[in-house]
Amino acid sequence: MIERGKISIRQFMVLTLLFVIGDAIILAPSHVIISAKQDGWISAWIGVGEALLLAVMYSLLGKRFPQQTLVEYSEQVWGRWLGKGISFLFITYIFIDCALMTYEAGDFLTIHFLMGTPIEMTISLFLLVVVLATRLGIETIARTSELLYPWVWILFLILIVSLFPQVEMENFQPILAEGFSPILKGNVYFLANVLELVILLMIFPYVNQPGKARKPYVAGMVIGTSVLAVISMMTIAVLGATVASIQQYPTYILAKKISIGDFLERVEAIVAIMWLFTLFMKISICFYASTLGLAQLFRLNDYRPLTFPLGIIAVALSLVLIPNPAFFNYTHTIWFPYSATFALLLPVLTLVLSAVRKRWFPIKKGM
Amino acid sequence: MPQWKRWSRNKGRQKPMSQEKPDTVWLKSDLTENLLHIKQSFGNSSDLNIREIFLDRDEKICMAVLYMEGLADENQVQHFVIKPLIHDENNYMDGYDSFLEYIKMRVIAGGSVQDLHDYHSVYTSLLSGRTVILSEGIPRGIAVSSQGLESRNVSEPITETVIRGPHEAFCESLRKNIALLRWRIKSPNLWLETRKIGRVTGTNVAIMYINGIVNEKVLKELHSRLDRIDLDGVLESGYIEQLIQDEKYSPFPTIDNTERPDIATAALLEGRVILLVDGTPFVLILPVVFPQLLQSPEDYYNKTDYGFVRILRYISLFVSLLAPSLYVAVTTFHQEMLHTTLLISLAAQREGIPFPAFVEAVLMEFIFETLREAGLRMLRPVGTAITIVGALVLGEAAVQAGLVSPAMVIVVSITAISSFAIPSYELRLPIRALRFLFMALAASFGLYGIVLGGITLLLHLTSLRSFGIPYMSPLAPFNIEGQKDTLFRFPLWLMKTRPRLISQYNRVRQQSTGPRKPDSRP
Amino acid sequence: MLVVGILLIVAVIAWIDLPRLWRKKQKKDLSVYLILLLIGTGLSIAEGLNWDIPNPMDWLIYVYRPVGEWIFHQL
Repeated sequence: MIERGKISIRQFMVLTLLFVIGDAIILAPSHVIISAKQDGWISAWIGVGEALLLAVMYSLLGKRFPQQTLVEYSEQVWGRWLGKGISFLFITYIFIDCALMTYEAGDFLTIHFLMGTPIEMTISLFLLVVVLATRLGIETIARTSELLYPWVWILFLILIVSLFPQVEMENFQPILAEGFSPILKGNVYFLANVLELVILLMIFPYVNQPGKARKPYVAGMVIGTSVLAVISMMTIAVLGATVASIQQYPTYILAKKISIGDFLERVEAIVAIMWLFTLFMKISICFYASTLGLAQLFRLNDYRPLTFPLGIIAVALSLVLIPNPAFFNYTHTIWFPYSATFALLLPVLTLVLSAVRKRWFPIKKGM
Repeated sequence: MPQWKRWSRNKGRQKPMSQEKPDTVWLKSDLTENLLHIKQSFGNSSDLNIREIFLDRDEKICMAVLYMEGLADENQVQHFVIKPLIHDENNYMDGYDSFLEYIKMRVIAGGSVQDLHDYHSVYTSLLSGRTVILSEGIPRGIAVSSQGLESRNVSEPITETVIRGPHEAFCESLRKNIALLRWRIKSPNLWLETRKIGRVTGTNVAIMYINGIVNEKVLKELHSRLDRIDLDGVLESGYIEQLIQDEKYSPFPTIDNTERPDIATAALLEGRVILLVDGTPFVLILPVVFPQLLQSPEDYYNKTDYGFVRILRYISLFVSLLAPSLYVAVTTFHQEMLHTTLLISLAAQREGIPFPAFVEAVLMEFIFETLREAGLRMLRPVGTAITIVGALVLGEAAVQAGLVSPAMVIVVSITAISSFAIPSYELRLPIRALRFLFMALAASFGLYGIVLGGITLLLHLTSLRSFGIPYMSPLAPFNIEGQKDTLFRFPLWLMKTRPRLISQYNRVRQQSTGPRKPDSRP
Repeated sequence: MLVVGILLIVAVIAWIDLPRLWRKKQKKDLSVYLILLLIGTGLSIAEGLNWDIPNPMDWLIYVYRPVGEWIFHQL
């Protein structure tokens, strides 16, 4: 096995949770609200239910192959060359996701945080830290996530509690004005984020008690999506659907609204820092998963040497993929079907096929 | 492995192995030859005392008593070795196969006696203060304990002071230090292993642990690491520390040291291993985890404050690491984050300042670090004067002259004060250095730089291990039982177990139920 | 200037991992590493000089856009 590290059940839960929150905390409300307007929160809570189902399905897959990552067992299930092809496409999916999120980080920072600093610099610095994390292995990533975890909660609670005075319930009305169709559309956008959780199938085998990985996974996913749903609700309640839908980063605008007494103002840095933490965890896991997957695909001895070359590629790719900010919004329309290919179609087919193979064609060892 | 690591390894390989332990040379039967050989080996050093004695009236049996002046206690040598030898009138050797055996069993009044067969053991005995007796015609010798080197007495600790708790510190003598620990732990399970490290100095190093509580894996690892040491001299326990620590290039201490016997005792009781080095009052404690560096013995001697002081220390750690960089980041990049009144007042202060905030901060921090270093090296009385000149005159004058803003002076002072709230001196060193790194990050990337720097620091800290124990435990990997004594300090009767990863087999520490009110019913 | 900077960074990166890979003589590891490093260098230089690089996102959009539109149409 290339990675010898082991993570505990709790660490896996934390990783899952931070992964779900990831970049979505600052982006998810925007698309949900664009489609579903003031009913966006319903879309989000439906998403929580779907997350539960997805988590159960993924953990079934993880339970079937407790010692292997998706890349490793797809070769067993699909046959050598077809499996390798599928794995490769899966790795490119992870890597493209990673590059897109890197771009998000750079875009957000240049717009709101570091005016004047070239985006190449911010992105390179971010990926340098991600590469360092990946080189230190999954154990270190998991432990760091455990240290960041309480901070994410503290910042989240500060945000929510200090926004309470500004909640206006009228913003939720009218409920279901245009029927269910917009809600489902909003839900699709929300789901596109949740589907990325399939990437954690690359980490499943490193949980130290493989049999018990399901519970933390499901818990992490449900709690994480609930956080997103709460944020969406707050965005609608405080900003109103119309204002929220024209913002690219509505959560950040939301934090700008905080004003308690006359002294606690302009604390939007809270959101920025919290988002940097969760985004860092998500990009690290994605980057780690794609590096590890690539090394497993080619049966290399170690994944660590690949980190720096892949880091350079990720920096360049993120700028190639998104030539301008307007194009970025365009990608969201295809993100759901693209994600669904690997997050719905692939796991379902793999599950079915592996069940079929187990029944009628027992898997030969050493294939 | 990067190129530079390889270079350093090659250098190690080329090092000539001189001064190997000499081949064993056995003692001769001829006394004169023996004495000549010993004298020559010591280069006729004048502190080697040789006293020749005839034991019987016929002056047939000649013996020599050797000891090092200063290392051996003259009184002891005279009373317990020379006097009995001279006054011995019996000369009965019945039942003893040699004359030396007779002397050893019947004449010598010293506490411990040891047989010697080769020159090397003669030298080590002499140099550790024992008295050596050689006899004509017998190719053996005996060594009698007579160590008498005066060392500093047990005195108050200088670096780790407490208000409540024992005011007693280790001293430079290994024997006294071991006794201080033995006196505190009256159990035969307190085991002691000694070995000599240092090809030239041959310094005594003692490993102490409580059998049954200690983690055997740590002990085994320690032995193998100590075996790997090949060094000419050990002057301080720091030499050993640097050669056996886990991560070669990390600035963070993965081995703790203390000069307080009570801290060492507490560490022993938690299942840690203590390493005592002859000639220094600082003993090593291992393995060590990061939260431990922010604990003080007084946390336990006083009634619990439920972690108020602990959390204060963690905040101090943050402040001393980040305060100047946050100031730089906010004033250069994120002015919008400040309250309007504060922003105006800051801007007014900074109006006449010729430097950017970063240069101002680096300058002030640099001056402050120099002051601290100068204060350390100065004679005590002068040190106070320096502090006054530095703090009052320089700070005040710099502000008056318009070189730095008053806000900057405040930030630097807060940083300085917070850094002194960190109990471990070892931890203050990397924090001081990293502070400058964070200032540079803040100057180029603002808060973003600080956050990324912070994540990198966390990555580094979590990747560290101390003798196999994760450095950030029990925070990461998280352990609920360990939280009773990390950020918080639970009442003593609730802390029932030893740290989980350190003592793995024998974990229950106490079963007391805590204080109870007397029954109200008569 | 930019190209020199990128090459410098690549050189530093190669210095960290390449010697060890070279010494271990693991041909597969080494070749994958070198190919990735070459791709990375090429991409960065091309992007830095604003050359026209085929965007994988365009391919994805070409494939998935009809699917996406169909889904949204159904809802």
